[in-house]
Amino acid sequence: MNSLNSSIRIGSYTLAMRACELLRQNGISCTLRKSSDSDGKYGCLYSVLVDSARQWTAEKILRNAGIMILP
Amino acid sequence: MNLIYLDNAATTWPKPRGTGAAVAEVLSSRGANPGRGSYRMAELSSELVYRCRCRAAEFFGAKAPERVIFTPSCTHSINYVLKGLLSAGDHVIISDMEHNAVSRPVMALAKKGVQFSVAHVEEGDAEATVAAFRRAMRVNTKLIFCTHASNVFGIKLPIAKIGQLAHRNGILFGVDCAQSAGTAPLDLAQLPADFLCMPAHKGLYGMMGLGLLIVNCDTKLATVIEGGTGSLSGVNVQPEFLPDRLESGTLNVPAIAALEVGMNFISSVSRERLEAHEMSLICRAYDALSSLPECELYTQRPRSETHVPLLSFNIKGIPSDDAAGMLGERDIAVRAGLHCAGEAHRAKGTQSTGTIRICPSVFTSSDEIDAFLAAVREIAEKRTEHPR
Repeated sequence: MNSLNSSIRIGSYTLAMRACELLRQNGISCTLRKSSDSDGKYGCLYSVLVDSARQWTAEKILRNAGIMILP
Repeated sequence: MNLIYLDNAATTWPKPRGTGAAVAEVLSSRGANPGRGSYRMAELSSELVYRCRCRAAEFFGAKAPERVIFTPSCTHSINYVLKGLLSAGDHVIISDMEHNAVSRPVMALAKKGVQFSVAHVEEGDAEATVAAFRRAMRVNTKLIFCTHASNVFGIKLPIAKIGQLAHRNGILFGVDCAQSAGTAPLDLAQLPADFLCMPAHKGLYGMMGLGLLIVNCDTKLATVIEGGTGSLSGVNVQPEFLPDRLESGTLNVPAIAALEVGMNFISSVSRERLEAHEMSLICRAYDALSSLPECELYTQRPRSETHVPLLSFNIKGIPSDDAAGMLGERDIAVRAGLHCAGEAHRAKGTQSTGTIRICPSVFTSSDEIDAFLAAVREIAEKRTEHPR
């Protein structure tokens, strides 16, 4: 069973929404959550949650689309 | 008597059905700050903004929704481009048909060492206009920025050709689409433009207090305003990515909701039909006014290829503001004076008189144009009978 347990961190709400659209178009389930990093380096950001088994593929799709992923 | 509203070049009125309801819904049930909170109402607000951003990107052929920037007005959008790009030693070319939204920031930049040239627009002659821009180019020309259509005379500039000229010479190209967005074709998949600036409240049938800046290039604009974006709050410099980089402060969500209704309305009517309707009305007015010896017109008969549907005229011997007042007494809304575009009036020789400007919308009827024409005839005849 899939669980959305891996987080892809994106700085902007707009880019995170587009990221979700792109992933769903590519058959990858995801959900969007507003979050913040624990050390306060970035502060407010958005987590796109995906199944850990699909994370590498998801990140590749987003990078190819020019969406910046935070480390 | 019902108001005959012909001041749509200033702002369209009325708005499409559903606009008020969309705004009311935001205020009553989606009033949270978008892109900030994580509770349901904030998510709804954020989703609404994103949906409208996507709609605008689709409407104007932008490559991605993040390239659509919401600003407080078209004037802000123009300032973001001019002041975000130009610095001392740079050269910019504008036209002699510009609104003050362009010419004033350029003059302010000139005081800081930015050089500028003004290219003459030859009505109906695209080649002559492009040649004027070509002659104005210098080795340090960084940007060509011009209006798509004069807000006073309706004269369109050949922006596709000017954009090609700019790009062939490695120059960025920006367009003030205040009088054309929603009415004239604007597709960034075809148009070689880097920046489009427009208001929501004119041809897009949205509300005042919202502008759009569409960025169609990878050149990074320096920021004119910095502040909270709801993103990377732990970093004390402005984000690099769009739209956040250029969208500090809380967005005007009610106006964004209205804009979405406006764009959907235009698509449902079809932009082509809307333009054809308004152009037929403006030609009806043009033909009648040009047959009156008491009236003075300043342009060729409007055509979609060379004009947007608005025109300027005067009744000989009556100052434009007085004539507009007389029309106002008859419940006919027009605008008179210089229309915040002194340069355009200087180019046409109307700076001392100003002009009366009319502009129909999709909601204007031919009966209303005829009633306006009857009122002009009445005012002109009285003037002839009782000259000052």
